[in-house]
Amino acid sequence: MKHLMIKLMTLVSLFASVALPSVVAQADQAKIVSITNPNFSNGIQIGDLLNRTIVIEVDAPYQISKMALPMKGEVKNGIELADISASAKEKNSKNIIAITLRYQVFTSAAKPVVMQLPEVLFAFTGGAKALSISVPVWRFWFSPLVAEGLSNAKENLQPQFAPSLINIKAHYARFWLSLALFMLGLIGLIYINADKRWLPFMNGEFAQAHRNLKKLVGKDAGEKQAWIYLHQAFNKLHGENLFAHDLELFLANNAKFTILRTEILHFFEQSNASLFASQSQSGMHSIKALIALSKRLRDCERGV
Amino acid sequence: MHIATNDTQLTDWRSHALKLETEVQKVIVGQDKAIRLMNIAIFARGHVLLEGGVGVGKTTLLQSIARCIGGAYERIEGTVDLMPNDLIYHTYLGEDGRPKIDEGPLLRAGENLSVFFFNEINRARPQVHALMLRVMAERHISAFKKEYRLPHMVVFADRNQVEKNETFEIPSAARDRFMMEIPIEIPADRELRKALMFDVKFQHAESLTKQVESNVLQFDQLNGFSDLLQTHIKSSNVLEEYALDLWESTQNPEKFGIKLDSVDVNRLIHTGASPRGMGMLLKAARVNAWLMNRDSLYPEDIHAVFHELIAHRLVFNAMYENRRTVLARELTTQILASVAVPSHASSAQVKAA
Repeated sequence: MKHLMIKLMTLVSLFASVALPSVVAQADQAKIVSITNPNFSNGIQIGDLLNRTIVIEVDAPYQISKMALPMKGEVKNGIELADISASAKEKNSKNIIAITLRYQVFTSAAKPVVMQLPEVLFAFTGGAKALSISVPVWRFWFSPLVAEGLSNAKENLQPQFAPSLINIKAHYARFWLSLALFMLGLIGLIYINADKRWLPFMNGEFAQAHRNLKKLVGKDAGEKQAWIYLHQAFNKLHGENLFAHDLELFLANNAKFTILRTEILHFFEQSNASLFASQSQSGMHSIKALIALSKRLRDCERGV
Repeated sequence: MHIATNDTQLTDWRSHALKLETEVQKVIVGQDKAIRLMNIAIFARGHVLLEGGVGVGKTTLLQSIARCIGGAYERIEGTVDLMPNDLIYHTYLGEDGRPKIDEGPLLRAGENLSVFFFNEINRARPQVHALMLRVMAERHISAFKKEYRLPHMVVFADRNQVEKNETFEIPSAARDRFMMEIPIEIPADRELRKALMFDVKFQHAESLTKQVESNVLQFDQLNGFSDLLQTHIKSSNVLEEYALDLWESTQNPEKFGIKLDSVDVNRLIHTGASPRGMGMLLKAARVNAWLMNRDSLYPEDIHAVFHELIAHRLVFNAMYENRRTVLARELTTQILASVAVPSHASSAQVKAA
């Protein structure tokens, strides 16, 4: 028995003499530089994708053994390795190897449970000795989609993370500015051209006269009525009867009509000739001229 | 041929009429409107009442115009003791010491009398007014067992409204015989006032009047030409409607929306313009149209004479009578401002047509 114990101790010391140097060499020659785990360790649900990136630094000429990498599609405790990729670059006689593992959760549970991304062992070849390095597990809380025993799922729906919104403030500003300009332009066009009283200040004396004059086209005895309409507009605006000799006073009180001084004077001359003298013009020609004049007077009245 | 002759006559007489104004304006400054109105009265064959203060040039103006018209010029001063017979005759002792009777100022010139100037008519008694008004209307008078005709006579009278003592208000019927009452006011222009003060030529009225060319018009042809002028100037239906509205507005101003400050317009008018007054208004307006070289009446022609023809014809209720000069002017101004032309009646007629 004593002899057996001595043999066993000899074998252990022998194994130690062989194995220990390789462990020491492995710690020196390969090391994990960084592990990037998923951002959240709770609220993980079925179907979620979890990425893990491991950067390992290993002495040249060691390379990662691609044969020893975990197999895509492996499932361990409800966690499937959906994808794996590795890349390497050399830097200062070291190989920097980046490995990306992509897991997808395929499990179900009625209550939140702790799950883990499995430990992974990476092996390196190309050197005198075999090297390997282990990446530890990463634990997380798995959440069920609905609580157990629910009769109405709607009441227990969990809020999702809000999607990040695109900043559209600048677009809104441009939109409202464009809309405002469009409306202003539209109002301006209506104000300038419209005959009807659609806006305040549109139903001035000459606007009314212009509307009435347009209705006279083609009517018998329209010419005299046309003169009357324009005279009435002048009288109302002046506050009393307006005659040619009062024109300067009228223009002093209504300066916006000054640019039409000659036309207004001509109007009074023609009006006198038509209403009070024997010689008169062709009715249609006169009405058209009066319609044109009333439109110009209306434009002055509206300040356009 | 006949039309061509008439046109020539109208043109010639017009140039004479305008020359009369120019001549009078040489010696009377700042009274252009009054001169134009008197010219209109001469060609409309109407009598004129001048109204104004003392020393504003009424007499000089009348003498200048009388000189231009030609014919005989007579004048009489209104006094409280003036009697009607003083106009017809006067008595005196002859060289032989026997009493003699001679024709008075109204008859002295006979048919050649063109201008009779009654100075300060409101100082004369109503009896004198009555005689004058009859002569003005009929232009003839019987005296010395015969009829004296005064076909070319126009009466220019003036009244001094400043003094009230020993004066007799001219009744409305008498005022109506005068075609116009023309106010003679002191010129507002400072330069004109300066000239009136410092220019020595204005100090001698007699020599001033002599500067005016005499006999610019042929006084004995004025009546005939006036008839021609009146028939030559035409008026349209629109204008006639307007004149009717003006007439109605002197009777019922409230109907035309006329308002006066501090006056109840409904109670203001006792009697509006008379048919004779409106006839005279159109007569004078036609003369204005002719002077403006037109053959049709325009509203402006009526406006040119409206105040002077209508204001003195309006009869106000007693409570307003003491303010008649101011109120009459304000009312006529409001009438012209308020009565529409073309009138609403014309407008309705045109619409109906």
